[in-house]
Amino acid sequence: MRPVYAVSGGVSKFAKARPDKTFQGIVKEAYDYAINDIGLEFKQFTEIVDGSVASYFSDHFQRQLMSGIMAQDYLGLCPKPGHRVEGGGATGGLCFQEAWKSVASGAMDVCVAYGFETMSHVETWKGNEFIALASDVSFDYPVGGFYSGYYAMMVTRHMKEFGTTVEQMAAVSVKNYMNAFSNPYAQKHQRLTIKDVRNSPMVAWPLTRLDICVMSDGAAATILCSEEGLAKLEKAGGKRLPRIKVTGIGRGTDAMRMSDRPHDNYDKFIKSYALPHEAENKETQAYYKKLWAKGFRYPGVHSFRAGRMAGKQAYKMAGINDPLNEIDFIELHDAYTSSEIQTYEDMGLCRYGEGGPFAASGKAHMPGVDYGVKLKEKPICPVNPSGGLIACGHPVGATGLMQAVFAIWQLQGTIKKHFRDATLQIKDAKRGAIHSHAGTGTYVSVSILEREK
Amino acid sequence: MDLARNWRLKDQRYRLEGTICNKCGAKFFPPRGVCTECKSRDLRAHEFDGHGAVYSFTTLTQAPMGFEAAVPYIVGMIKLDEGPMVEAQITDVNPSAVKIGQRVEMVTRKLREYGEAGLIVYAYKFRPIANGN
Repeated sequence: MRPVYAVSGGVSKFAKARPDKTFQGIVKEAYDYAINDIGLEFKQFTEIVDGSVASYFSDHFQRQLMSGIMAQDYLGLCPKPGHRVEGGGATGGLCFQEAWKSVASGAMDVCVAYGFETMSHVETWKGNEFIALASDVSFDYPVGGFYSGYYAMMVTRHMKEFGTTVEQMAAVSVKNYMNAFSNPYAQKHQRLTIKDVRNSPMVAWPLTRLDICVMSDGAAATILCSEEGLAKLEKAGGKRLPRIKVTGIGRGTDAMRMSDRPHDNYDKFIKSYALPHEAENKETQAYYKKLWAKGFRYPGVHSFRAGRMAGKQAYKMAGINDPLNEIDFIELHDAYTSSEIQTYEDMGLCRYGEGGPFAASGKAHMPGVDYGVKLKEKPICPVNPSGGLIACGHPVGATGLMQAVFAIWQLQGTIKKHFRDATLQIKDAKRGAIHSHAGTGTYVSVSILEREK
Repeated sequence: MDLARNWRLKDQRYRLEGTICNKCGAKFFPPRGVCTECKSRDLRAHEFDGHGAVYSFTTLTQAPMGFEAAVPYIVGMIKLDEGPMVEAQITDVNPSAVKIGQRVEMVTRKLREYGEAGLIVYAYKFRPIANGN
């Protein structure tokens, strides 16, 4: 495998509805932005790019099969190679990794990953139904379940196991909304309090509307390249480009039905799932032994072993031992406030069971942003500095690529240029992680990006 | 498509029928053709007795299409005494009275109707057992 650089990206404005453009047009907004940002003309880039990977979750929203090839054509990429990737909510993250593979394998020098979703083309209830089709339509959906209900059952269990509170969940929403306030790409620009989150309409107890991300129209694109590809792009544009290297990728899976998740014992957890810094630490071992003695089993539905596997692989590849202190920021898949808390634990920012207090501690907040709440700890590893899915929106096929674009900009130090506001720039960010998550934790991908010295 | 799908699931919906491994005795719901425990392909049908306990639950106050009239209703994950877990509605109980660990039993109830002239789908739900903890 050879080194892969994430050299540029673009994001369309995420909005509840984009009645002004077709999905191809929205993709082209993001694609053009990524090309312009490396100082190339459309024609120049078209001559250099070797191929693409397309990311979109549903055929239902557009009521169009083979949308990918229509976007490929609209971008002027035919007859270059391309294919579609689909994996529920993780579609974007998987697409990013497929583009990485295309370059790492030597098959392409320059590969563009683009993704979109146009969810406004149907009513919200219809949209919810389409998304619910991504759960077991024989056993889970027909009993009156849908995604907010599934996540509510997970967090109900998280609360039972660990004492996680609704206020800790609301703290995630307050944080992500406040971050998004300085992100012009975000769909929501609102200042919230813990009370606002709890007082908004209940969807599935304990999740209120403000615990849940919104449906969106949007697109995102990233350009990945090899050293040779980088040289071609730099020669054509006549300028040196920042080196943002993809240093780790990882993936995991789990059963569609939450009911089929295992309930493993302590030894199996330590052997198969614990991160190296957990397995080696005596105090952490004692902590986990105590949990198991109380009846805790792993992963149940309170934890995502797919997320843990993805993180574990990506960390190993990137040489990360202590994720909280060795990663400067994370863009993670916060479709629900509760799943951000669950994901802190899967990604090893804290131990299983500590996600609730971690959410409210301040460790995952941005420095220099006033959240209107008292935070005990200083920021260590800001999570969702962009505002995440909760406030930016979740146009499924674009989401994982949006995270990649925001991560590239953070590492380039170009947030001010792209957001026209420096508030969300993490000073001297060297290493970031992006986390993309499908279903009730069925497909999860984690990728690590680093600024090369 | 829905007609065939519902017909195909009748053994599970009406009788909670899964499978049991003839080699190691592991039980599955919904039915599996391969034992996930010992990888044997020698399984037979097994009807679950429908007793279990609430593993987790939520009360839905916004519902997907077809369930609007039912809100608020409770969906839970039921850990069957015989092993597997199943998602189902919890019925005959006030939402505020449901607790994790509560004993429940299977009952057959109407799940939904597909319009005036459409299918009426019956299936398992679970209700608390009197005096069960």
